[in-house]
Amino acid sequence: MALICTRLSSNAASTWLTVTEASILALRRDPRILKLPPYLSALCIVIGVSWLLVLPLNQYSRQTYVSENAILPGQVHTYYGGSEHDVFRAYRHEVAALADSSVEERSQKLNDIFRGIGLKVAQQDYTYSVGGRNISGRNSYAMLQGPRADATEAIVLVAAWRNMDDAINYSAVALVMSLARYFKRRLSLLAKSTCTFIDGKPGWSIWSKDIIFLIPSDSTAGTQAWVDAYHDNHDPSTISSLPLKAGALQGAVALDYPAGPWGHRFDKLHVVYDGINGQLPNLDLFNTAVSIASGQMGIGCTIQRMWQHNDSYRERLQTMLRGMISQGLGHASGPHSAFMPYHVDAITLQTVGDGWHDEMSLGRTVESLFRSLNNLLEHLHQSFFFYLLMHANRFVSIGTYLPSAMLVAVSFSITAIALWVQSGRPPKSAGKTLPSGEKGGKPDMTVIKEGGAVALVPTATLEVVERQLAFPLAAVLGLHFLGIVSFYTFNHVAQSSLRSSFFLFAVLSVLLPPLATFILSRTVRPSAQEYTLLHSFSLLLLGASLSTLATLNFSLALLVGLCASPFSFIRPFPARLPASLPPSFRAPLFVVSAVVLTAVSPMAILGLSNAYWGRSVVDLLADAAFGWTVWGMWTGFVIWGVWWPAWVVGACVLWSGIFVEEK
Amino acid sequence: MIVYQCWWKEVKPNGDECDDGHDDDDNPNNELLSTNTELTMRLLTLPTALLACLAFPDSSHATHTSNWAVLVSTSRFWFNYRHMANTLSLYRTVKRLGIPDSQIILMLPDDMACNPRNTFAGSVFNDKGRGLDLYDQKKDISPEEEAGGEGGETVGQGMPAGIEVDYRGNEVTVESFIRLLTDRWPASHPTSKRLMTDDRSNILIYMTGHGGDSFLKFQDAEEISSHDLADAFEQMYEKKRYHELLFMIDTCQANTMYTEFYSPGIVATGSSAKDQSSYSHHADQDVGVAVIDRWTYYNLDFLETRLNSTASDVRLGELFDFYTFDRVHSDAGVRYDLFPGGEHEARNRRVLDFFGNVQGVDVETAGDGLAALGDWRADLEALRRIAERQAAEEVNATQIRTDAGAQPEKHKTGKNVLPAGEANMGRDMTSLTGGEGWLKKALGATSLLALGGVWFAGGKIR
Amino acid sequence: MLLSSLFLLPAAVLAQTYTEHLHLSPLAQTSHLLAAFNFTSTTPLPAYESGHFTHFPRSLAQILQHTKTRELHLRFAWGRWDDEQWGPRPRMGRREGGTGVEIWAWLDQDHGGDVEERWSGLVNGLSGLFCASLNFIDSTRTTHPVLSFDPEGTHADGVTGQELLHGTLPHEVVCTENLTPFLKLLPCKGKAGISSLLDGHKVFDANWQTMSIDVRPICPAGGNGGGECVLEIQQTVDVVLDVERSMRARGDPIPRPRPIEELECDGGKGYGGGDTCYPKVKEGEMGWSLSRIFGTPVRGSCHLGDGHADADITLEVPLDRMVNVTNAQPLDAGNEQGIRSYRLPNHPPGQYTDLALPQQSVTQAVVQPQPPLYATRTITGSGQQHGGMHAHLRNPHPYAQTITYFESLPWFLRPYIHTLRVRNSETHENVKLEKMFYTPAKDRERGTHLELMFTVSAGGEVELSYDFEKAVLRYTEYPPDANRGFDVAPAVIRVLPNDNNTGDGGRQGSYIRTTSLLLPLPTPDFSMPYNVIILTSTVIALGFGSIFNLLTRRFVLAEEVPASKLALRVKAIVGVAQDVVGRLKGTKAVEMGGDAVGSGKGDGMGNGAG
Repeated sequence: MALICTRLSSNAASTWLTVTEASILALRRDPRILKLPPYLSALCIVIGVSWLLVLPLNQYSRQTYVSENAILPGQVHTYYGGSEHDVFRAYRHEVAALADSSVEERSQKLNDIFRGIGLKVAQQDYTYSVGGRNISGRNSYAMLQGPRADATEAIVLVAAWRNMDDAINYSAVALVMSLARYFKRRLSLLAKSTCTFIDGKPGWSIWSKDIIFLIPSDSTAGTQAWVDAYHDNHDPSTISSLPLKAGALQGAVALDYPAGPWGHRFDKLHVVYDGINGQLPNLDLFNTAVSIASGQMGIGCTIQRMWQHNDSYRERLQTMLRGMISQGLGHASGPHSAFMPYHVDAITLQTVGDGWHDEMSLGRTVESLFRSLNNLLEHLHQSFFFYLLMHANRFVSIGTYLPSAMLVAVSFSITAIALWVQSGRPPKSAGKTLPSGEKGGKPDMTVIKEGGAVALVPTATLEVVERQLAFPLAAVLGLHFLGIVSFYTFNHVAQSSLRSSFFLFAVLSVLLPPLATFILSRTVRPSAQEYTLLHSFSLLLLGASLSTLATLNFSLALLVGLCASPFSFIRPFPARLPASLPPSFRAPLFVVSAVVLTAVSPMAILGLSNAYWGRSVVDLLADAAFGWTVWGMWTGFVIWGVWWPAWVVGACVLWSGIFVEEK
Repeated sequence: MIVYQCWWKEVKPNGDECDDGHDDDDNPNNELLSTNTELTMRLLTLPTALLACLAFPDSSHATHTSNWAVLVSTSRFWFNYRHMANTLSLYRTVKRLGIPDSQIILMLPDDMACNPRNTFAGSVFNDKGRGLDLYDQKKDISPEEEAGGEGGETVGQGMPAGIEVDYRGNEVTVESFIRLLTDRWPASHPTSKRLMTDDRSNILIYMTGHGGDSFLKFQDAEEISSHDLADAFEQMYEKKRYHELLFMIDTCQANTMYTEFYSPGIVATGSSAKDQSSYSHHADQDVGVAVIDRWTYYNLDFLETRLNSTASDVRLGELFDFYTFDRVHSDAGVRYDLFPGGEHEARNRRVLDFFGNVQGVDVETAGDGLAALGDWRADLEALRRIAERQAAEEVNATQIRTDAGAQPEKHKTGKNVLPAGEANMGRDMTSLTGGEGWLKKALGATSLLALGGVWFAGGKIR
Repeated sequence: MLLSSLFLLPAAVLAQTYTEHLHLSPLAQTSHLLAAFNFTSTTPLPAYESGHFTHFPRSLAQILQHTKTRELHLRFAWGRWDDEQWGPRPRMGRREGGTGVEIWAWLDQDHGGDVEERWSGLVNGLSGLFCASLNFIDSTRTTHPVLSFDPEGTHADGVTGQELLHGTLPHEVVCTENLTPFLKLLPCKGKAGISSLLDGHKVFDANWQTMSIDVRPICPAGGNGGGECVLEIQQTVDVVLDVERSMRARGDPIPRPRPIEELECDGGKGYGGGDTCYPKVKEGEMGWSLSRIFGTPVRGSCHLGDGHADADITLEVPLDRMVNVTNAQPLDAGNEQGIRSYRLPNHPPGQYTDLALPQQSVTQAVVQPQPPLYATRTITGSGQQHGGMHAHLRNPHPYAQTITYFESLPWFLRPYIHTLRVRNSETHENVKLEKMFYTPAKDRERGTHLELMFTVSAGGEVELSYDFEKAVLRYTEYPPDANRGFDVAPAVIRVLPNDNNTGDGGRQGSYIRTTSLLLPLPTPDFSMPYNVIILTSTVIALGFGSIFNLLTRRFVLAEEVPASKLALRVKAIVGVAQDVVGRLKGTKAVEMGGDAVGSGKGDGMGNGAG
């Protein structure tokens, strides 16, 4: 590698460039550069958060619009109603009669009804075993083959037998059946005269795609099993393959309408759209549903359980935050969630409140929605896949909100770099300013000549401090490995012993840093520089993984990033306090900082947040285990494999101040 | 992007009904325009004057021996049903007026009639009344209504049943369209898909689709620009592939498509001026799509009502005057200056010279005196054409400007017609107002520059 | 089934004949009606070659003669055949094509000119004739099947000296513009005779329809000796119509809910109440008539006075089903198979024939014969890069059947043949492949051609599966609707004739085609967010990278860098080795070895400094 000065002098072509490089080089020597980073990363975090807060303003969020021309929302007359209502009631009675019957006879009955409608019928058994308990059920589904379709595409209408609140989904199942009949329309023959055919209204021939009517036993596991089997990504030993298949799935709509046999008029439609791991359906599908429901049918739409929403800043922000939390948790929020990983856009329509809309208007909404999906010629791709909704018709796209998470992630990287640079400094000049700077008169220079070029370089530049990388690297890797091990154990320990194992784990991980640092200081005797490097590496890894995660699951990255933001300000507890404070303050100060650090540990935050939402940690862990095994939800992995190790490292760094200083 | 927005503007789910109030008052600027153009013509080209004094009494006499029609819909996908309907309506009309299938080149980029989404299999309709099936005459005859006569084929308006689409699906590309016009094909290309015209054939070219400022999109994938089109026509002219050519286009900013033409013998008309969009007329709520565009709708309205026999003597001028703003909701434009004899001659052409098949073969005038006269006339003709082509440039500018600026006050009404269409589309059209274009351009340029800078710096810094 | 016996009927060689025939059979326990049209005309081969096409369409003949085509099979098909409900396919599937357009032909090799060239001439000519974009059948869509197709005609010297080419267009829509030229080929041009029933509105409203054109030479059994050979053109249209839908009022096909009183409810349900109605399942055969289903009765007849008096219309319904015939002369009141046949009146022309079957409740249920084989094919897996093909075959019969399985895949679908598994579904043991032909694809030149022959055991189920990789297309190669996916042509399954199912003309066996598939390929995403992400991360990478680089790198003199021990050791070893080699080579080589070591040191330092 050539000498820098000669390179400068050699490329005389771009003199301004030499200036910049020179100045950057000078900056490299500047002591202020090490003072700057903490403020810089703090600034990043502040900006990141405030960025989030301005998003709900009109200037930063946008009105939703349907950008796929093919959908043509609400441009068709919908005819569902009239005598179909009677049929619907009949089906609802049938469904209600099945309320407390076994899975077998229930699916048998459902299949009979579908077969009577004239559809092809099939069923699927599935069993998942998670943490000792078994989840099993039987999905029954029917297929309406588009009369003139070429069997290459299909859309799905789902009504889980039990909805997310584990209530029986009477009306939705009945509605799916009567819609199936309506879409198929095998008109039952009239004995009286054949002339009914002339004015009779026989079957639709408008379906360009097959329509699959799916009734899984439960909302999440059953749908997951079905979708996996549809794409042959299932384990045939526990989940039976599908005997009946259509073409590529183009979209899915799930209904949640648990009104009993005597019906219930609803007020609003609650559109649920979160997928597993924070995946979202194409915004066009959501917009189509909203514009049809509110525009064509006059049914109000709401999202994220905001039953009251009059589009004020506070409510927009609240909606957005709720959305981010549920996205960050990455759990399945409805039967639709299972479709997302296979790039099938899906939503759930849930009826809420007491109003004057009845099942017919919901049915008409679905009809119009399916006419729109039927119009699709390509997979939904025009609109956004990454967005935050703050109102049924207001959103921000990834380009606008991504920077906030990125800034938070970058704050770690900055500190990491600073720590790295600092670790490269000779220990003595680390604290105070460079001796050979201003008042030292003439700084000692070394003359270097290479070829024709001659250069003066401050000797300080030439001092070499070797970095000891072995221990920090090993430690970081080991901790992450430890995190993954604990993640694995949480997923596989029996649910009964989850509580105990969690508390055990919490205690251990609180005790780990002091013990580790103490033992190390006795055995390996890592230097302060090595702890700096350890810290730097861990932050670097944190920053990198978070910024990557931000493009996949923005909310999770942001939440973890904010919770982990203190880590970049941890330093080894100073051997002696600044002169302003009496030395006696040292012990209490240390205790305080240790307690604060413990308070921002993953365990503490998980526990506290659960306490706030009134759930026990055990449920959370059980759900996480279930999610990992059934849905492949990697939220837990991020927490234990990324966040936890970073915290441990931070704690170790703090404690290192105590044990390392006596060297 | 333009096109999408443009499209949104086009669609009015509740398109307003057609108003049958014919207002036959001639557009004043047009008149003024006509006079001054003719004046310039006369002054510029002495030969024309000479020609005029020895021209035959009936100047609007058809001097062509065959009629061809090229009908192109350029947009794919089900939601562009109406473009298909536009084209098929024209197809049906020219077929009704006697152009045989062998002389109609029909380009349909997608299949609507047999699309599984189409409730009415095998049919395409251009109004929600669904009175008339454009795709194929239904051979629906029951014994009683058919009084023993030979029926079937000749039901309805006595046009042959069936349809022959020459280019369809992915065949409809800019390349194949240009090849068709200029007739450059591999040897194996079937003759039924070729435009086999000569210098005695009149051609009607109709295009519809999504367009923008001097371009027209093909299949949402590629564009043909007005320059390409102009050059293609020039090649046709040089290869003596047409005698007279009527170019009609129905798209957004349609009039920008023919500004570049420079070959003689062309009359061009378009549905909307620059920065205007052309609107769909109305939608069929059972088919679920808009079924026809306004401009084409009123073209058909005219052709159906006025040309009910193949002998009816209707002039192009009357057709052009039919495109009033309150009908079309946009400023339809006409370009005469390329036509020999300018506006006057063009407006005097019979509509059937382009829309119908030529009636009777024209006799080769073999008289001696006449022959000599004919030669001299031919020379003058040639001279005049040359002179005209020079004249063309000047007139271009004025002509187009007057077209665009025609009827400003009605233009205003048109503007506040818009929001009705957009409101239920839930789409803010603020970014569409004229001056915005510059801002966009500036933004684009700066961002490009910035990128370049970053790249350069990045390259240099290390 | 009767059709299978009918379809080779005109092989009774007459010099110039034209026969047309319509077979109607309601499909059991569904409200569907199968209408099979058949128009066959023969022309003496010598006359044809000397340019006297009597009934033979001239436009087609010219194309065939120009391209030296000996035998032609052209198919237009749409929709899917429902094996479970409709049973075996008409004409044993031999007059049926895969979704879209399918064509195969035998072309002469010996005559001058490249066969491929004449093939492209053929498809181009046909594309002009039939208004279909057959011209898109280029080399990438053309294959040369070996097992799946045999010539139907009698060729003097077999098919030696002739080449079989096969092409498909799976996504080509079939519509009225294809029917119009199809009818123009007929002697009566669809104005008279049963062809007057063919109307785009009905044919293309069918659940399943296929049009076929087959041209083949036929020589009497005596080979070249007895009788003269004839060229036969057979045009068929098979449609499965939904009786209810095709009898609907044309004006208003949108099915509004019918008034409640028209609805037939099942009173037996407990929950009474006026406002509920559990719909009854239909029973009984519904009434229909030709004029109502096809919108028009048969107009006149198309008898070209060539002597024979075959039936024009045959009807396959139970014998106790009433049939009202208006002016057609019954030839057979119903034979043992319950088939009634009618002949249209010759005179006077322009009168109308109609068949009407009143609505009636059937006494005995019609037994639905089993199809030769059930076959489904799906694409499995998800993701942008890999996928799997999975075909499932079920043999419903109590005897083993040997089949050939033929797939022609587009080049951008790259199968991994080493993953090809043909296994019995229950026992999971491999099925022995008796023959296999495989032509790997060449990018943008040639598609994959895969042909297998194996035996499906009696009542057995066979799963055929392989993995494939999806190619990334060039930007310009994406069609306008790239995000829809790319169509993969159906698999053609031929059930070879065996002693159990030697149908008539059994040397062909029967054919089954799966549905076509939609293959999603990785498509470029033009949407904004990704551009934003990519742009920003590029900028960050550039800026951050270079500054980080400058900040963290230490610049030292090249001399100061201690060459790393490892490098020195390696150099030393290399040097020693070279010395050894050098010694073997002789003195000159030693110096070279020395040089090598020296330069090696220099390198070492350089590396150390970096």
